[in-house]
Amino acid sequence: MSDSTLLGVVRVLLRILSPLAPPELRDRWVREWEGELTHWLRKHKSERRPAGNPGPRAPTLHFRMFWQLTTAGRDAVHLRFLPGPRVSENRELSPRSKDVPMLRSILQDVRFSFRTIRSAPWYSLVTVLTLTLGVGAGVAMFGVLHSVFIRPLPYPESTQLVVGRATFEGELNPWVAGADYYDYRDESDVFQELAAVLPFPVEVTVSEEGEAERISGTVVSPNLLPALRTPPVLGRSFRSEDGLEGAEDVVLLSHGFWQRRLGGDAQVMGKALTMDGDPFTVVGVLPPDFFFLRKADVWIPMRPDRLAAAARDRHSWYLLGRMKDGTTLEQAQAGVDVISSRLQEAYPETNQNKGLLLTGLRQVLTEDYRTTLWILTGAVVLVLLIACGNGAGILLARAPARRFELTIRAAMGAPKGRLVRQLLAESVGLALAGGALGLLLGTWFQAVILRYLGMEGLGYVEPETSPVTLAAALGLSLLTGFLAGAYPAVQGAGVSLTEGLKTGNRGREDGGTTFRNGLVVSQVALSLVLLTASGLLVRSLSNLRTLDPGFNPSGVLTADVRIPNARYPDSPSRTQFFSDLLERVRGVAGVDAAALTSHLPIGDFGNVFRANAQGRPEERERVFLRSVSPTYFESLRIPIISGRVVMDEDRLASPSVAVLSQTGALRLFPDEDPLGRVVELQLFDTVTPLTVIGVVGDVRLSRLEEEPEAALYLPFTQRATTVMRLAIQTRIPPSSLADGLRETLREMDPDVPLSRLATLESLVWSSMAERRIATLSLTLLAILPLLLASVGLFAVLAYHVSRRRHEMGVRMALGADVTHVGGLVLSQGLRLVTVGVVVGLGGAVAGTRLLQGMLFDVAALDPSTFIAVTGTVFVIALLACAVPVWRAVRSDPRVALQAE
Amino acid sequence: MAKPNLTFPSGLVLHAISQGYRYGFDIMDATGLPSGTIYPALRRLEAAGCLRSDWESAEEADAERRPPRCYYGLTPAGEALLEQAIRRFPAIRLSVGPGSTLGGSTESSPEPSPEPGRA
Repeated sequence: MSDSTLLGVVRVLLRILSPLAPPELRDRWVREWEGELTHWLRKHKSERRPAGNPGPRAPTLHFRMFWQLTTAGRDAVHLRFLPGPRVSENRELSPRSKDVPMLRSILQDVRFSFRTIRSAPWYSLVTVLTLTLGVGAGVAMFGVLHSVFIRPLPYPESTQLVVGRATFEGELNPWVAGADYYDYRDESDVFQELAAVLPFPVEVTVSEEGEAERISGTVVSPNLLPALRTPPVLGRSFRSEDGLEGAEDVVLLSHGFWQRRLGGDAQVMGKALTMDGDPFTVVGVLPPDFFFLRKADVWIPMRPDRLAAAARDRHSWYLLGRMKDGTTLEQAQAGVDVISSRLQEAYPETNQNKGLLLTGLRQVLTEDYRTTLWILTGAVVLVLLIACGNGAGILLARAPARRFELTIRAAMGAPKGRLVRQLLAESVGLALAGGALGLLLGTWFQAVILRYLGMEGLGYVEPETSPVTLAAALGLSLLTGFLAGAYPAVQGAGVSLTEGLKTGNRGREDGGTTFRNGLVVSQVALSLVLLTASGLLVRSLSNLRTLDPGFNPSGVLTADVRIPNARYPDSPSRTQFFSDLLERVRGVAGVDAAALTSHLPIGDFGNVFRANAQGRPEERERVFLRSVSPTYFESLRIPIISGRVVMDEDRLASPSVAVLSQTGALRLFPDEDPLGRVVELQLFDTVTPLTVIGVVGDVRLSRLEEEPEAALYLPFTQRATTVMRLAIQTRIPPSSLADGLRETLREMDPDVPLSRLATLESLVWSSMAERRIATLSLTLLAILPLLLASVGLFAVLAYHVSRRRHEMGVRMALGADVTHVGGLVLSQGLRLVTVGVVVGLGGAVAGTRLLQGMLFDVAALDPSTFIAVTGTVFVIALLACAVPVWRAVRSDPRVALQAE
Repeated sequence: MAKPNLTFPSGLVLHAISQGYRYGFDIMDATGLPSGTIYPALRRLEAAGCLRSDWESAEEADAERRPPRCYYGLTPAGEALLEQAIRRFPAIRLSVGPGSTLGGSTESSPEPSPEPGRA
């Protein structure tokens, strides 16, 4: 870079930096620094070469040039804090610090505290990390509380929104009958709009434009969008006539679905989209990220002739009302109560004691989480206070080392208030550094909390780093800094001159020892309780992972195949389709074996049915039905215990047969061989006799934690459903099979989609998700106090050592050896830990019982967990003792004696 | 109204200026103080009326094809402050001088160099 280019760049940078300077001085500042920097560069160029010395190389010079720019920047900032350029004569020149303007002296304090912090990096680091944990937990919790309780819902004037839920004899039963909804909507005068939403997701198959696909849909009354004040971004909203019986089928698309499936084509408006075999006219596209209760790809209008919406005894709608301006919740409730009474009189057989309860939307969305959130908040406040206490402990530990310095400053005339402020500036500075790190930790922790509580499902709650969170982090840091610094500052600044100068660096006892010891003991105890709990959960998780579920999920790929009811109305057509499918799938490259089942062993519980051995109707047992293909047991490696499994020859025309699971055999036929016996299966209103042809091993039917239940396997050729799951054995990466499978299906019927493609192993793994998250959160919650406890222990011992350094030196001078002096410190540390461990073990014995329900195959008082956790706590404690012990044994006898 | 804090660095800066070192970087070189000390001190002293600043003539700068520089001079208040400073910190007199070495022989106080001409 040539000099002129460099100077050009410098000039530009000066202009960029100039807003740092106060407006009236900006011009002058730029000109002055232009001159100075140009001069500086020339000077360094010309000075450069005494013979043989080429001077600094150009890059170095350039770098130094930019370094000078930082000086210019600092100068600009400094100009801001100058008290005006006016000149007054006759001023008294006084160096006394109280005359220094407040702001400037605070800046001085800040600068000085930076130097102090730098001069003791380890202390500072430990303090910062401690406060990071406190602030991080606080920020996370604040973020969660803010998103849940304060942040406005994403609908305009959301405080007018209320949810209507049915009550029966005063008991809440959330859903409302469609016919009742229509009456409330037409008769009430307290709402601008009263809308209804189907609370369950529905799935529909679209087969327009490319391959068939299962997508999520929801059914809503046409006035939902006006109630939420959300217009579509394209096309029109529903009209009220869309909700009339026999109206043309229309649909609104989500923005995501429109982009993904239809390529964002605006021409799609007015065209038909085939869903479940019927054409729906596309009338509009919703805004991106729009949701209510859930996200859905297609929004279909509620109609009296759909989903039993005209019935008064089928309760399946969730009501959302927007109250009129100025109407209170009480007024609205009174308004609907009148209608409820009228309905009770008009329809006594369905509406007796039925009512409608209105509740604010936010209240409803958050009511499941309130208790948990307040408990968590309490825990977080505790962590924050512990962090403050530890921060104070560390600062106090530094006090003796600084007493001499403070005494000197006091002796030189520093007022006490100034010393307090100086010490506070230090602690606040440390807390701010902790706050910055805490913000990072907190954002991450916030996501963990949200996931743990399962609130992501609400849609409107997501981790955020907003100005509010930043302000919270700043506020918490300042608060933490003051809390942690106040006591040490007052303590430190209250130096007695004669005492302080006499004793030099040797401090005197202060009153905080009991407080700090108590803090360490309680933290050790708390972390031991939490660690034990998390240890038990970790063991449960690993027990589950090594558990034999009764089938072998490895190398099995699964996928759902759903055929439209309209096209395959009866058993023969379904059986035909799935038999063909199985045949073709076996021909796909990479498929070793393929089977079909109506329910996978994980995640697909299915309905409960009742069955009994023939002739013993009083001994009915719960059974779970699975329609399977003959190869199912082989594919999942479920052992055959006796008899045979289903065969292709078991047709509709041949006798109905069933295979029992071992538990089923034991429950239905406790004393006899079930082979050849008849089971009477209660299917809705009919009783179907089935001949038992075999018994297979038990599998865990839905969750790994559940004990195996009685299962009844029927040949899919005798009981075909519209949804079947493929279970494919393969030795190649399962994802590479997807295209071949889709192609096969498209050849057979382009309207049949392949969905939920997943390996059985991943299904097993995700069935443990909730438990994994609980274990992870608890482990994090346990590690936090353990870290804090070790920091607290470190602070106490460090304080102890710095106070007794002189004594230790004297002891060593008098012949005490290293082990003796080190042992003194170590024994003090271990005493505290032992007390904490004893208290903690007591708490753990009492507390882990509460966990009983979450444990799997491990006792609440599992000795090995208790021993391992106690060992861990001691090891961590020993590490925390290491530095103070090391410092104690390094006490130099010479220094101690010199000081005498 | 600000009253300048009579510190050792302020004294050094005032002394350097009285010795004819009138530009920021020159004062830095003369006193050996870092820029982070020099500039705040200059600003403070100027705001307090102990220094005045001015610009060198445009011709001079043009002749050397560079932007004009801002230079500093002592006001009467500044001279008074320098006197006070020297009484309080006698070492100031020893610290700044030709060659800008601390403790250099500056016993005879040299004539202030003439101010650069005005346009």
